[in-house]
Amino acid sequence: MARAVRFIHAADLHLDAPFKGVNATDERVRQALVASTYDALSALVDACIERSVDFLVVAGDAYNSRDRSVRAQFAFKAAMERLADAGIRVYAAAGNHDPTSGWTAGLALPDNVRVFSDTAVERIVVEDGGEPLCAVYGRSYRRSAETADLARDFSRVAEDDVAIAVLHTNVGGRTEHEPYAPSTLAELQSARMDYWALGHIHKPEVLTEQGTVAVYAGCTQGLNPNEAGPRGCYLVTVGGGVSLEFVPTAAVVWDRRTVDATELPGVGDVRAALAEVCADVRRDAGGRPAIVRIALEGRSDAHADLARPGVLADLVDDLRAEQLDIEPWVWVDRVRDLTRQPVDLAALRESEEFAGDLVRLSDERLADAATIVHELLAPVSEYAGRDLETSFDATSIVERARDAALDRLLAEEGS
Amino acid sequence: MRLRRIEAVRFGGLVDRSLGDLGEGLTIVHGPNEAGKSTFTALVRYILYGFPSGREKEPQYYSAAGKRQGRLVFADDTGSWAVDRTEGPHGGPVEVRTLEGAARPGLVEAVTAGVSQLAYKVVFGFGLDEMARIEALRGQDDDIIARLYAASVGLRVSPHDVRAALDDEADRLFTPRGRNREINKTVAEIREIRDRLRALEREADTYQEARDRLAEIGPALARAREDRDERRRRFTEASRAAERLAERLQRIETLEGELVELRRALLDAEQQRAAVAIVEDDAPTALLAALAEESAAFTEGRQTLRDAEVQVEHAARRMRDALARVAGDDDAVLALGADATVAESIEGARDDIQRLALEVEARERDAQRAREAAQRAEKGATAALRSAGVEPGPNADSIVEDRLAALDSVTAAGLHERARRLEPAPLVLLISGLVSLAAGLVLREYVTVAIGVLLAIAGAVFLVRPARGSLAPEAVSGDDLRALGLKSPPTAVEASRMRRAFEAARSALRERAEALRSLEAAETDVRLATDTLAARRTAWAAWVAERGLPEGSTPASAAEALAAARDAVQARAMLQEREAAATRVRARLDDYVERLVSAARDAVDVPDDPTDDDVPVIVGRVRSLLSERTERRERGSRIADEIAGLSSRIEVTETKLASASADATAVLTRWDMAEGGSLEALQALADRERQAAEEAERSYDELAEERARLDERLHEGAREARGGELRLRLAGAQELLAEQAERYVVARAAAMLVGAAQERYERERQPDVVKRAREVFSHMTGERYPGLTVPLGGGPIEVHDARAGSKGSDVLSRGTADQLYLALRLGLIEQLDGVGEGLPVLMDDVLVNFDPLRRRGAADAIAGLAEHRQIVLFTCHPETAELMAEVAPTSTRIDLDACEA
Repeated sequence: MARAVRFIHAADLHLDAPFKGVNATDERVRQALVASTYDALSALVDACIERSVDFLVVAGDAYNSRDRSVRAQFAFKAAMERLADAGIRVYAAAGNHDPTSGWTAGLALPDNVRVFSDTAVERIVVEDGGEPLCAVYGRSYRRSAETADLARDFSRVAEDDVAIAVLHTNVGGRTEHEPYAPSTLAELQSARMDYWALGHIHKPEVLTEQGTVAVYAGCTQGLNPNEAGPRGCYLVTVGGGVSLEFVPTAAVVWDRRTVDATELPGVGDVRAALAEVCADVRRDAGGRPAIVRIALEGRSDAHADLARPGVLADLVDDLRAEQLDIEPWVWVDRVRDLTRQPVDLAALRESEEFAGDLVRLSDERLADAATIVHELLAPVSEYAGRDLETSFDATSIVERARDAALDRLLAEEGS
Repeated sequence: MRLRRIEAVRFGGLVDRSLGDLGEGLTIVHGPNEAGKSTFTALVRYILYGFPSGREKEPQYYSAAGKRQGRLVFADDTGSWAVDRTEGPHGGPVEVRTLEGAARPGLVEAVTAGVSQLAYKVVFGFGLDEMARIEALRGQDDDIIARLYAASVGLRVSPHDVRAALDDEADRLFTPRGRNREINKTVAEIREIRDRLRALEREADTYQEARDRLAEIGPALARAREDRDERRRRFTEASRAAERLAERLQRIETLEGELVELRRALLDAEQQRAAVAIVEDDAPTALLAALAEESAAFTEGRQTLRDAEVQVEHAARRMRDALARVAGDDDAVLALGADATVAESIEGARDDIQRLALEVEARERDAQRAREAAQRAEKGATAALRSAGVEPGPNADSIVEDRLAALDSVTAAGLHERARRLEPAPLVLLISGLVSLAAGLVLREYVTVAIGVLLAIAGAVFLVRPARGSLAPEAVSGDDLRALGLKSPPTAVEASRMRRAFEAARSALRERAEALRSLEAAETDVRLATDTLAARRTAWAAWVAERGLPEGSTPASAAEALAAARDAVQARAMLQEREAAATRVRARLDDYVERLVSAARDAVDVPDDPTDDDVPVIVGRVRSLLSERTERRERGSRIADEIAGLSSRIEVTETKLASASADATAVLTRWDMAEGGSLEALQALADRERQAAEEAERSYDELAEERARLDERLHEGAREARGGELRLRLAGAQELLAEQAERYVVARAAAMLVGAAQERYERERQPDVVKRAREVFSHMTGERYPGLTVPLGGGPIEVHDARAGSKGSDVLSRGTADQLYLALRLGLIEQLDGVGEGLPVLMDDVLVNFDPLRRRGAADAIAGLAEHRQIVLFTCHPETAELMAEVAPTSTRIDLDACEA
């Protein structure tokens, strides 16, 4: 082999994709989120240019064609032109969000971009100074719901010094993701590729089996609170083995934290603990703005104060104002008060009083919690339709209902 | 805590009226109608809970005396306190004054704890009008029974209130037909966002259409561009071809005119060139020019010749003068002068004779000096001998030697003895001198040095000085003395003097002998030198004779003759050289004249026999001829150049003409007009191409303009961030909706749990309040209705007769219903030991609808309750007052006068 091959593997850019699970009431946060997928694309291009890679591979879902965002298509085109100016080639496979049927219709991409065929696995020989450097294999989605096993058609040609495969696929049938282009790790291994550049799973993950290195680069920008943690791309070097370097590109980092309020006696203590959590989030975000969702848990003396109307909302407003004044800012997306009164439930269960009846009754209803929640939520679901996307923990709902009732029944005079 | 007195400062018709002291248990207040019973009952409530505003549907009891004001005086074992309230905002300000004991600022709250104003009104301070409300309010927000029940079971708030609050919270979040509920608003916002997103998607559809149209336009625009460019190119070519053809035709016309002019000029030039032609066959211009140029050399040659002739004359005179200085034949003289060895011989002879003569003179001077030395030596020897006492003679040498020998013998013997004695004084003197010398040298004292030297010399002299006196006589031989002519041995001084005399004599004798030998040698040298000089002079005379020089010539005169001879020889050589040079010049001059005449004779006028003086004239004529020829040649050259230029221009013009013609033909051929084509036809073609190009340009511009519009539209879409912002808003709203839905479900579930718990509690633990109410009601009705059901979750109250028949409260008679409601109140109040402590129960003629039997039963119940809770019973019926006093002997009775209530 003449020399090592260096390239960047990215996937799931989801340009202009809608965010979920965030209620950003601050204008600056909204602007940052709206621009974040584009900023991540810029960071990706910067990474390619700064590292002088041989090429960039995009393993599907560059953007959401379903949203038909012209802005996204122009942004992608402009980014590809920047790479063209830097002499960096791009090999892109279309995924379920950007199948070839909708791929940049009417917008011609520069000559440095090659989009893999949607009818068969395409092999492209990458040359360096007129000499073959490596071969890049890829296959695009023709349509969004691609259910065929595309990986099985990949097979390395014997003369390839280095073989790299690019595919948007669900390896191992992960049920939490759409089962598009399902494949198995064994199939990937049988193709004898040096490196599988995969897309579809938004969390970075390295799959290795018997010498086959298959990598999900993850999305370049987290799109909802469930996509917390670092998001970016991989700098891949193939030459006498495969080495990986994760390069963060996310413009905004998502985070989730839990605060145990058991030992926090008052609202001020809770406020201080939340500020401390925000500082941790800021540190972990590595200089990027962050959005954090915090859950307050535990039986705490602060519960009664937090449960008072407006107390938690005021606290969160104050915390948000404080955290937005610090650079890089942290947006406190939501603070869920899951604290409970510091009551002895076991003692209440043994009590003949009304509260004891309530606790025992709620214990009995836990078995039917899902049904109860479903029935209680039914009018709202019917009213809101598809806009209400809930994944409530029914047990938790019943327990919280119990605690809410106890809060009121056992409230101190004047509270 | 008990209420002791009620004071109406200004309230309704009561002004500065008071009611009291009230008893610990039951107080019966009897008074006629309009005595103020209901007014006092209301006043208590208003003081505790505040005066109603004008908007509230409550009896206002305005006072003509001013703002409403009242006072309650409470007391217990620790003190007494007055609660004052005056009409004002929010019920009016309340003040608790301590009349006795410790302050109780929270007295009002403590008294009313757990009892709302409505509960008080319905349960604690009621009249006939409020009797039925205890049921009417059931199931509503103000379920008095439930509230009081909750308080009775130790809960600070009633489960009913809790459930109601939870349901209220859920309702604030959502109702299916609500608009301003949180979830309803959020859903509305989501729908509004979705509408806007759909609008954007419709816009996006137009973007898609724009992209599709762009995709179509791309190739069409490319074709239009190609067509436009082709049309432009053809138009440009045709237009340029027409311009080119016009220009070429114009050029052809111009070139043809130029050609005519050039050819005419060429003919004129050729005629002029013939007129200035030169014929020079007989007198080549170059030769004449060379000869004319050479005339300067001729003039210079003539001067040279004249100089050479003067030099010949000068050389001849010089030779003659030289020959005249030497006697003899001229040839011999010239031969002598030419002989290079003569001078050497003369000089050699002269030098030899002079040197030899000088040698003779020197030798003679040496001989004279030798003779004088011999004479002085002779005189000296004679004197020395005589001084030694020896007579000069032939044997004087041996005599002196003998005497010296004898003297040596004598002095040797005497001196031997003397030598063995040293004198001490001279020795000291010598040592002192040496010491002084050394010290002076060391100290650089030169006087001391000098003294040292003198002392040392003196010491030495004295040391070596011979001893005075005679030698020892016993050591001297007699023969010796005789030989010396002495009789006794001489003293040392005498011996020394004798020795010096003998030795001087011997030395003088030796010098005389040497002087005589030198004189003899000098005389020999004189003779030898004289002979040599004579021989050399003889040889010189022979040489002179041989060379023919006058006899007796000395080397000096011979040298003078030789110099003259040499001058003659030199003058002769110069003469010969000058003569040769003159001859050569003459020959050159003659040659030039001959060549000049030969060349010029046919061209200019030349004398038949020209002299040197004629030459400048001839040359002048030649030069005139040459000047004329030069002028004609230059003119001819100019004409030739003009002709060449004209010929060249004609050639070039002909080429240009041919090129222009070919070009014009090519232009026409290119446009298929080789046959019969013309400028006008080509221009017409270009005009047609222009129109086609303009048409193609318009088509292209239209497409390009459309594409620009589409591009701009797409770029507007590219800059469009509304979609992202709306989707973010949608995400936020959905998130909010999910959160609200969760809160809603929690609230609903909590309400459900509370309701279910109530139901269970109700079912499994019959509340004591209901049990007590049942007992009271049964007693009041004379066991007519032993059963009573009061569903705590709502629903009608039912009474059950002895036959288990049930009746709803709504079908009971007024009196029975009042008894039921009173029983419920009494049952409730009995269970409220910890609730409303100090809160008196005020009943305003509630027994009027009771028959006597049931009135007594009720009086018993009231009296029973009054044992542990303060009750104030107002009545206008004396029998009722008496009945109550009968059943409650410890009761307090107060009679009111009639007043304007």
